[in-house]
Amino acid sequence: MTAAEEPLLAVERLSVTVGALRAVDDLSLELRRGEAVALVGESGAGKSMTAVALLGLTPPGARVEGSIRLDGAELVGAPEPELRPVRGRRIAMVFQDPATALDPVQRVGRQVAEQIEAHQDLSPAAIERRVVDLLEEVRLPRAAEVARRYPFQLSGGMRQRVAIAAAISCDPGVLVADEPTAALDAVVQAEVLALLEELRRKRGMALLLATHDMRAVASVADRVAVMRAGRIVEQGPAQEVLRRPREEHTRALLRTPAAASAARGSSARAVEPALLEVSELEVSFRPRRSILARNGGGEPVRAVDRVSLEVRAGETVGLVGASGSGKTTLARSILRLVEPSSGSIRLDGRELTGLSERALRPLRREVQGVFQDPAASLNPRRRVASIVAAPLLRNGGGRADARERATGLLERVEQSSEHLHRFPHELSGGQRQRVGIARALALEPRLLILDEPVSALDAPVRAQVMDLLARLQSELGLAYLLISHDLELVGRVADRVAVMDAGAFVEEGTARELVEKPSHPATRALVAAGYAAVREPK
Amino acid sequence: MTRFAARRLASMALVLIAVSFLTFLIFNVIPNGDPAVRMAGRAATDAQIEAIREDWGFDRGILAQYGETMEKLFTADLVSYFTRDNVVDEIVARAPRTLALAVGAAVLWMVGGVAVGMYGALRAGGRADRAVTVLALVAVSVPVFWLAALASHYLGFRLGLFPNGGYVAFAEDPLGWVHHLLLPWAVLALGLGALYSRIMRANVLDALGEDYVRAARAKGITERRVLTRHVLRNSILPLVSLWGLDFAAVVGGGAILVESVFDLDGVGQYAASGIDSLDVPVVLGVTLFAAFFIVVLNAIADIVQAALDPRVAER
Repeated sequence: MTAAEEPLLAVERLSVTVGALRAVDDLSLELRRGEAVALVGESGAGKSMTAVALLGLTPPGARVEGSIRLDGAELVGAPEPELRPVRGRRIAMVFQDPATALDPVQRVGRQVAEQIEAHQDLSPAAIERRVVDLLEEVRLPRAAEVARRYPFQLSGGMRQRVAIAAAISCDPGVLVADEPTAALDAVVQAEVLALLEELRRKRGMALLLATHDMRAVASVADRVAVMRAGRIVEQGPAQEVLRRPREEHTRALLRTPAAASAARGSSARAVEPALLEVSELEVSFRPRRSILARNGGGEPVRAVDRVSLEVRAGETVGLVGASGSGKTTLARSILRLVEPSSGSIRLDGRELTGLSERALRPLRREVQGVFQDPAASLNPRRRVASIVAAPLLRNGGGRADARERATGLLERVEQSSEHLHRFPHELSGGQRQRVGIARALALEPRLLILDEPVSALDAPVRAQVMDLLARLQSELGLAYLLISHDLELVGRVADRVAVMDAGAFVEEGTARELVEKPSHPATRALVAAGYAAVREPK
Repeated sequence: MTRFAARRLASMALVLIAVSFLTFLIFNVIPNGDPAVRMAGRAATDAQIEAIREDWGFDRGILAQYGETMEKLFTADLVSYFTRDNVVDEIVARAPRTLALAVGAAVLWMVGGVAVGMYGALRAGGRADRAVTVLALVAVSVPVFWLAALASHYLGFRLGLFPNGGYVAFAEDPLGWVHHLLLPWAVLALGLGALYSRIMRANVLDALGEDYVRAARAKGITERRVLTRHVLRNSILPLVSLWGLDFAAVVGGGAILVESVFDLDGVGQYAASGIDSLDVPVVLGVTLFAAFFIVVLNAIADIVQAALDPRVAER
């Protein structure tokens, strides 16, 4: 048999059982030299477990059955001393979140070096040179300096590049990347994917990319395997699977938030008076100062820089920008969760800035927020019923009445009332976000500030939640301020879109205008990150 | 880093001034605290009391008194109201005993706690881990004076394995020094060591579940290296600042009971006698001594932690 016929990595009938859960179920997969295969599925489909099983790193107590052969050598059941030289040398791995996958208290150069040390007998000086070369290869500027930094001093994208540098340091034949871009924002995602693709070609490395992001699949993979509940449900050449998916589950993964645009009306809204009017809003943070610091702790950081914005009743205004551009701070200042330094926020013509918490209270009913991470924004120790009813009770509702309204609210967000007695952790991500929306609706607001409402969710769930938001908008006549890093997503639902960069609005227009004629570099980066063109809704 | 250290030092001075002033103030306002009355004795006349008051400057403003006392303290002229012994000399004579006790115990409880905690975490849920857990709980709960008394009675008096209390200077007899301190060290370290082992165990378990540990294993480095480089270091970090605090607390009075039972005649015992007789100079001297250690060690712990964990220095 020649090398071309024999797959580099052959997984046959692999099953991984953890407790009662069959995380990977009878999975067979082949990876040839230099080939890129995408393993696609929602979170919990078994992608990560498959990935760690390839390195023999399943959690203690997990039962692994079947066969994993690397160049003909069996890895399942191989003793630790045989596995260790394989890990990091022949099969290397890049993890999802570079913020946690790097040791916080070691310099990043050291963390690349230790992988080389583990497999090669080189002098410290030679290793140091290799580290710098590798950091340059992953396109980190001033590599020698970066090597001496700690992870917390680097951005998310830079950290992921460091992790990739470590992974390729011993020239592995197989690189396993488990959702390598899921924790990064859209612009950086595209860059990291491009880097992985470039390295794969240059080094002739096989790439197994576990992801839930179909856009990533399209740009990188030769072949695709779609996973669901531990099994592969569909497998084939990437173009074929993406264009003509055979399985309903694959189609669901491919579906992006499109339907949401259907329910929207005409541009007649332009004549309606503004519900929310923000003008010249500025939010600065002064770095915390110590009474002993002589020169007062440094310059204030201007997170929101003279931003003006209008939202009319019933319309959707989009706000896009990379992470760190000030979107969330703007949202929080409109909700008066952070105090603006200057400027004005008017709701129905009434000025909100400067109002005392007490005077603000009745107005708070009108504007509610839905936050990015439903796992973090719901109190983990309260049941759904009490989470949804809390705003009602706090605004002078009776207990029984609140309970009844909570049931109604859950129905509104398409949740069964039996969820009322569950805790947030007993719900899925999508269900939790629905609860978050129900809570926001409790006081019958007219404006919802949606801060990355779906970015923590998988593609199919994301589409469902966006559909729900569209339905609620048309039923209840809500206005949305939709904040996201995803221009494509925002473009599908927003009447108008503003692009934010370094705290200020740099460009505004319809999504189509922004995509077709982006004038600011920040907009161009966001457009490039979106890959596919945005379809302007009719 | 240098700025961080400098700022830390400046705040230390402030804390020391505040502590000394508050202590002075407290002893001036508590009932029956008038030192002139107490110094004059039972059969004193008003004139005698007045004379003492004038003589010692008790009739002056509290700020002036405080200033003078502090000045005397720093020029080592401060004497006890009742014994007329020089306070600074007394403390200096006793400090080595207390420090020897505290340093030895601190090393013991840190090393022991880390080792036991790591062991327990690596065998989490196993029989050994459960046994260690129960023992640690007992060790934390046992009152230190009771343990000290038992150890001293059985191991010292009955079995004669250890001397029956007392202290020998290291310079005179190094072996005797260790022999005299071994029991006090062990007794003092046991409770804190048990506590540290519990914290360490939890830290190690947390670290073992971290992504960077999984990533380190995926690099193919040996398990021993994963444990020493990544798990151990990240798990010890939170203990370091705690260590500084606990060590200082022991120096600043936490060792009183152990000092008394083993008759080490350290600073703690001196403090106890000073408080007993409302002897302001003694109390002030000992308080400042303790506060100094607490503040200095706290700062050192912070600086060490900043060196170990770069995120701290960045604030």
